[in-house]
Amino acid sequence: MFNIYFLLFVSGAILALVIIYVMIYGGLGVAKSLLYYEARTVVETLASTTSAVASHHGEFLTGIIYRGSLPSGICDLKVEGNKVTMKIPEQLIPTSPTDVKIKEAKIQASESTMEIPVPNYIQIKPFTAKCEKGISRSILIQKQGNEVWFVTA
Amino acid sequence: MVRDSMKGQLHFAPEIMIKALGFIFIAITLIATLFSLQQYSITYEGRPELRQLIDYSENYLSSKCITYEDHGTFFKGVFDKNKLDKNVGGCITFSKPVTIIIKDQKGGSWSSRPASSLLSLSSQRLTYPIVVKYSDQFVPGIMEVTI
Repeated sequence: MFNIYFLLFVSGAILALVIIYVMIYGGLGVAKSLLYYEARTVVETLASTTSAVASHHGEFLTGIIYRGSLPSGICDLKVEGNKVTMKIPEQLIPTSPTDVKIKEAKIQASESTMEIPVPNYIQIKPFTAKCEKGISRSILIQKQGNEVWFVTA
Repeated sequence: MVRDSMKGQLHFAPEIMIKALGFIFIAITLIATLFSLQQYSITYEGRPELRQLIDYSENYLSSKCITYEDHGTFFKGVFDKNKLDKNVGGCITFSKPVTIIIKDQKGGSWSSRPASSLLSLSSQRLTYPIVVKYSDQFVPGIMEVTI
């Protein structure tokens, strides 16, 4: 017959392992979800700021400094026409049950896109964030006349 | 001897039971804790539509095709009546349908969509104070933007 203390020890050890596993798994899921929404917020912020710049008359210069935790910074960012798009790394797309309970199916897309409402006489120059010198964390938005363009700082 | 064996019996059975019950209690507590850990979730409440509506409105208020101009200066929030009469929809590039309704204190009223289609308006609505420039005067009014 098994000793009661031995049974307690084995059961306790199993429970401890389960707790550690759930905490790591759940913690990673939450962190992943936060990063996923961070990527979406970056796109929304850039689209909104660009729109605000476009609404000004004359020259304008402003910038966005990203202080978040996305592994690639804002390297996967692209502006084309009047749309801002950011690729979301595959490992950040929520999939497991411990991730955010997603209401919209489209939210699981591998990229986030946001339209920039601007007057049709405003020309937004195409832009792709270049990260040859490492992770990019800031973008300058410049306006002169009816042209708006971006510079990776 | 009988007394000793009785003592042993009295002590032995409750001790096992207490340990077993204690173990069950701890196990249930831990399982309940694990279950509650699984319930953690993040609620993300983004309002991109409202944000875009604000951006749209700001651009509309300052767009050259609708605002009053004096010696090359465009006045944000001051609309030229003649321009409103020609094109109240403005010149903003945007894929979502946005409705603009402008009313001034002189009785002037402009709408970017026909009255029949205004019934299906969604919940995102913003109101801005504006001024309409008539040929001889500036008249205060209100602009309502809906997406």
